[in-house]
Amino acid sequence: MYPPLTGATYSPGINADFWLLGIGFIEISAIAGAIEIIVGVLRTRAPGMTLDKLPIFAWAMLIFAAMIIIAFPSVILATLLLELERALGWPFFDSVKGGDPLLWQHLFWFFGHPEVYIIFLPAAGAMSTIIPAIARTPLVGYRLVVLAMLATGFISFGVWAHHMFTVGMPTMSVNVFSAASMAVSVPAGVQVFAWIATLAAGRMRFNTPGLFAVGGLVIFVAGGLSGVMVAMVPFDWQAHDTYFIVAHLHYVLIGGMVFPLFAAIYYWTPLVSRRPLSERLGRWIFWLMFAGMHLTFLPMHLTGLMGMPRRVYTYLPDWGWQTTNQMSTAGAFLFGLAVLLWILDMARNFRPFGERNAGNVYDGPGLEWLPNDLYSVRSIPVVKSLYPLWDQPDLARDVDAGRYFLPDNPTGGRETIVTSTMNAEPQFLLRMPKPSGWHVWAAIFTAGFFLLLTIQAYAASALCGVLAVYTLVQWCWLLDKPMDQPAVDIGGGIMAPSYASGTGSHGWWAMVITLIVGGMVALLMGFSYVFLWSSRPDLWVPPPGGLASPDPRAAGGRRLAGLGGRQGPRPRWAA
Amino acid sequence: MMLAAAATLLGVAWALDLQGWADMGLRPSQSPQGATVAALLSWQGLFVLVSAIMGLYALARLARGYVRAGQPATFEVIGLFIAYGAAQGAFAAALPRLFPGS
Repeated sequence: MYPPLTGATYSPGINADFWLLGIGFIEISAIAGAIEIIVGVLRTRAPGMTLDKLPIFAWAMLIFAAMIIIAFPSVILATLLLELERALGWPFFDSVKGGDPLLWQHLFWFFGHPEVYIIFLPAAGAMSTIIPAIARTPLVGYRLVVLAMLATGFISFGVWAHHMFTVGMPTMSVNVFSAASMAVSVPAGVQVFAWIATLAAGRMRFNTPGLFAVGGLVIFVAGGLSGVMVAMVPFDWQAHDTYFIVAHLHYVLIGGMVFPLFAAIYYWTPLVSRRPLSERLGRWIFWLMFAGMHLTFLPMHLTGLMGMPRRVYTYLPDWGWQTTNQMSTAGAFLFGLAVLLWILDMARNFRPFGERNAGNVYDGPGLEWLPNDLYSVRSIPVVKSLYPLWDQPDLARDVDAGRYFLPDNPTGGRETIVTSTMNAEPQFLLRMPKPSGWHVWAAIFTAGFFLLLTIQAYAASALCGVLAVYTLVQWCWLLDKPMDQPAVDIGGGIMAPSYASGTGSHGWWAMVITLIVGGMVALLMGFSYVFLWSSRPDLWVPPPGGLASPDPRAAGGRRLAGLGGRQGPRPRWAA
Repeated sequence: MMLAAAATLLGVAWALDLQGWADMGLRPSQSPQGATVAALLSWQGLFVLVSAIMGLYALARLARGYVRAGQPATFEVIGLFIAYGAAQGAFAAALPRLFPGS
C-alpha cells in the first residue's frame, strides 16, 4: 500500500478505498477490544490473584493490548490521510504537491513492526501456558518471562525504521535502528530458553499440543536467526525486497504464531466443545504441516539470495529459480492438506450430536478448567498460587459448592467483583450489562458508516453515522442508571459497595485509555505536520498570529528531514 | 451545567481557530500545510462534536433526575473527555503557529 502507487493516479477505482477504510474500521474495533482487555485484566481478577500470581497468558494479553493502544493509532492515521488524499486531493504523500511518500512508511511501520510482536505475544503467552501443562511442571523463570515480554513490547517501538534501511536515512539513524533490531532478540531468547528449560525440567508428553508447541519453538528459533541476519544493514541491503525476507517472516510468524495457535486450539478445544480433537489426526496434521512449512520456506531463502524479488511470481525459465520455486509449491500443497484435515476434524468435533463430557483433558492448572455451566463458575475463588488447580486440590469442589465469593446473586442481574489493581482485593460489585438490542444496532450502523464511505455514498454514510451515535447513546442510557442498593453481600457476610467513582470505577479507566488513543493520533498528526514542513519548508506560509519563526533547517527540522531521506547516501539503485 | 458550558467553550475555541485559517486563505487541497492543518482541525472537530453530544447527555440526565449525590461517575468521565479535548485543542492550535511561525 505504498504511495504513490496507491494514490488515485496509479490505483483508480474503489479497491484501495475498501482496503483503507476496512483497515481503519478493524483497527478501531481492535482498540475497543484492547481497552476491554486492559481494564478486565487489571480490575476484575479473582481475589488473591496479585500481579505475581497473574497467569502468564493474562500478562501476555495485557502487554499485547497496551501495544495496540500505542501502535494502532498510527495505522488509523496513515489510512485516514491516504484516504483523504485519494478522495479529496489533500496532498500528504504526493510529492508533486509538496507531500512526501516516506511519511506513509514512517506511519505504517510505526504500527507495522510492533504489530509483529502484537501477533507474537499472545501466542508466546499460550506457549508459556501450554508448555508447563504438557511438561507437568511450573514454568521456569516466570518473572523473567514477564520481564522479557514487557521488554519485547517496549523495544518493538524503537525498531520500525529497520524496514526502511534502503530509503537513504542518515548513518546514525540506521545504526540506532539496526542495534535496536538486534536487541529485541534478547527478550525473545529469554522466553525461548525458559520454554526449553521447562521442557527439560518436566516430564514431556508428546501429545498434539506438545508437538505443535515444540515444533513452533524450532521454527521460531530458525526465523529469529534469519531475523538477526537482516537486522545487519549490509546484509539487509542485499536481501531487501527479495524472497529471503518472505522466507524469514514466514518462519517467524508460523513458528511464533501459527504453530502456537494450533497448540492452543488442541489444548483448549475440550474447554469449548467438551470433546478433545483427534490425537491420531492431530499427529498427521502436525507432521504434514511441519514438513510442508519447511519444504515451502527453506528453499525460499535460496530463491531470495539468488535475486528473485518479492511480490513477483513470474520469471524467465533460464534464471535458475524454477527448482526452488517448485519445491515451495509442493510444500504449500502439503501445508494446505494439513489445514484441510484440521477443518474436517474441527467439523467432526463440533457436531451438534453425540456425547460431550470431556473435562480437563491435559491436566491444565489454570482457573479456566474450573467446572462451569452456561455463564460462569458457581463462586469466584480466592487464588493462592500461580497454578491453583495443581496447588489447591479441593478448589474445584469448593468453587462448585459456592464456598467463595458471589455464591448468590445479590442484585438479581449479571454481576462480578472488581478487585484492586495490584493486590486483587475485593473493592466493589460491578453490575454487568443486561441483554439489549441497542449495541447490535450500533455495530450495524457503525459498519454501515464505514462501508458506505468506501463507495462514496456520503449521505447514506452520514445517516448511518447519526444512527450509530443515537443507538450508542440509547445503550448508555440503559446501562447508566442510578443505583439504589448502597452495599450488598458478596459472600460470607462480607458487604461491598455496588457503586464506585473516580479512579475506582471501570468507566474512568476505560476513558483514560481511550484518551491515550486520541492523544497518540494527535501526536502522530503533529509528527506528520513537522515531517512535511521539514521536507519542504519553502511551501509553508506564516500562520495567523504566529508565535515564533524558527529556521526549519536547524535542530528538529534537520533531524526529521534526515528521517525523510534527505541526508543519507543514495541507494545504489538510484545512482 | 458546568460540563455543558465547557463543551460549548471548546466548540467556540475550535470555530475561532477554523475561522482564522479560513480567513488567511489556506486550502487543504493546495499544499501539505493546508492538508495537515485541516486534518488537525478535523480531528479536533471530532472531539468537539463528541463533547457536545456528551454535554447534551449530561443535560438529559439532569432533566430526567438521574443525578444523585455520591454517584458522580458519569460526569467524571465526561469531564475527563472535555478536559482532554481542551488540551488537544491547545496542541492543535499551537503547533501550526510554532512551525513555521509568523
